[in-house]
Amino acid sequence: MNTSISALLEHKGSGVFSVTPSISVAEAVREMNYFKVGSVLVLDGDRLVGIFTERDVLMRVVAAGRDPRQTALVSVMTCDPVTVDISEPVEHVMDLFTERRFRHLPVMDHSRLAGVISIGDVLRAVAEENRQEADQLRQYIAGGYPS
Amino acid sequence: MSGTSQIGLMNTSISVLLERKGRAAFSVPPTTTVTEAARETQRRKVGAVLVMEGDQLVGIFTERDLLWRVVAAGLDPKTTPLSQVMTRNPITAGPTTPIQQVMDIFTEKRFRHMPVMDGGKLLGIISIGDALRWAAAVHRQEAEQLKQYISGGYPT
Repeated sequence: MNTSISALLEHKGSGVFSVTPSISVAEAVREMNYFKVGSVLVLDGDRLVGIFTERDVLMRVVAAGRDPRQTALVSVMTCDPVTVDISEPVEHVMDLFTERRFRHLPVMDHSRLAGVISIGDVLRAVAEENRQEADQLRQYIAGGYPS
Repeated sequence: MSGTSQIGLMNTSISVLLERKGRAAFSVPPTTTVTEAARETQRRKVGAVLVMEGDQLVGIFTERDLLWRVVAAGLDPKTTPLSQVMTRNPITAGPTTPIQQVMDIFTEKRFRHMPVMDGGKLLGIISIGDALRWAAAVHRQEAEQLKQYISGGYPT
């Protein structure tokens, strides 16, 4: 991959969707739907304490027979989530997505939260890169490839 | 030209990916409740369930449907049948659809699952994770070939 994590974050636009730990699952879902995102970060002040995703709603709330309105977010979020540093190669993120089956990863810039990268963001970048290479190949075959 | 192999691999048909993952698609009838479907997806560690009426695909139910049409709507998952909240007549791929095309649909339409049908017969389901796993393997292979090329061992 020629793309960096920071370039991916820039492309999707800034904005980290976060909530406080004191809310219910139903309230967190409302936020996720409003912003059309599949995860929210849980911040205590400016400290990252957890991540809550669509998968958690499925696995830890609905499959467990819990009522989203009565369930505290802190009881079902993933505490202390795995994060990546903004300077790491995108390949590392791809490995985490494919091997550990994550779909969202908080990105840190040193100790500061810089954003969230999703499996959709990475797949979009890969698809884009493939298209560009295909175009280059076509130009090369047509003799117009810049040397 | 490092891109050659990659473009070839991304044109691979989706049936190759299905064979690789070696996981048959499972389905439930439309009368299944949301809670039952959630338990089934949890047991099988997947994010979507196909809804079949007899041998006909009538819908797909994903985590996103759960958030939008069940939790946000305040419906009771224990009594709500999938027929009420599933996505009807989902977009499907055929066995010869190129992987690149499925990836494009995932990114453009923001889907994460696509059933693969051969005529009217269900072959399986491809997820965004499957697609990324494939793309990652292609990249690794390409990097390996490039290294061999640089060290002079690349076969002509």
